[in-house]
Amino acid sequence: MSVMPPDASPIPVLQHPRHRLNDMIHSPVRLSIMAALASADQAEFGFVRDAIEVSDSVLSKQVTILESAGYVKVVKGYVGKRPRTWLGLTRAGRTALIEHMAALRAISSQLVPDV
Amino acid sequence: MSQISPEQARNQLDAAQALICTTEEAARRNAYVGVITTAGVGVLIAAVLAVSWAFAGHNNLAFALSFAAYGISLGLLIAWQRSHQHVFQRGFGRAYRNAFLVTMVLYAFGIAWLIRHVGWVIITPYCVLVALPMLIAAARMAPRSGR
Repeated sequence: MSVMPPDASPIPVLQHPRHRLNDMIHSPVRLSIMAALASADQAEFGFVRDAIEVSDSVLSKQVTILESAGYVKVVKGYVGKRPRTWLGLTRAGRTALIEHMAALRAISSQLVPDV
Repeated sequence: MSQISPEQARNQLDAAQALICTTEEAARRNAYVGVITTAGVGVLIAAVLAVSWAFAGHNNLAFALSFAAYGISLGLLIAWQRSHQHVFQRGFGRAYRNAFLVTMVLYAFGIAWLIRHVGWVIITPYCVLVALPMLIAAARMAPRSGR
């Protein structure tokens, strides 16, 4: 026999802001990549690597994950004979970052201020 | 589902905001490269129109040499941009593309019709007009002081 009241919704509405966190961006390195790209059309791979202080291989691996999620676009080119890689946020990536940061803001606003 | 405390959220938010500011600052420092490139491309296209008006059909050698100089200058400008610009500020691509499109439409009209029908009194201001969209875009890309 069901104990659920007759007017209760069978699917609970998830109110807490942690439910709006994006697991794809939640990794610290991936959040850093997305944040570093947020205020640019495109940024060079080396610039992002230095800004977020990770190795080439770590950045490359995380960028591949973000690219497959459709959050980051990767443009490869050459400057002279040297290969260059440019990174930029896609529209979906920008939206996801804004929503994730809004959720972080909502969670952090639950901090009890020191008195 | 992600579990995170308010303190952790605040720390992540602060770190992300710091990175956003870092890129903003780098884009502002790098903006001069985009400004020079955008203005330079506009001026080069206008110069090609002027050269075409002056030499096309009259002096083929001067016309060919001018075109070669244009190609080399454009190549050097783009190479310089690629080696110096590490961050493109937001909106750069759209502003550049829109201005370039208008400049190229004006250039095409000039090549197709104007250079055979008008004198220098018309072609000179028209060349300025051809460069103008790129010059305006370049001016708008320049970082404002006090921002």
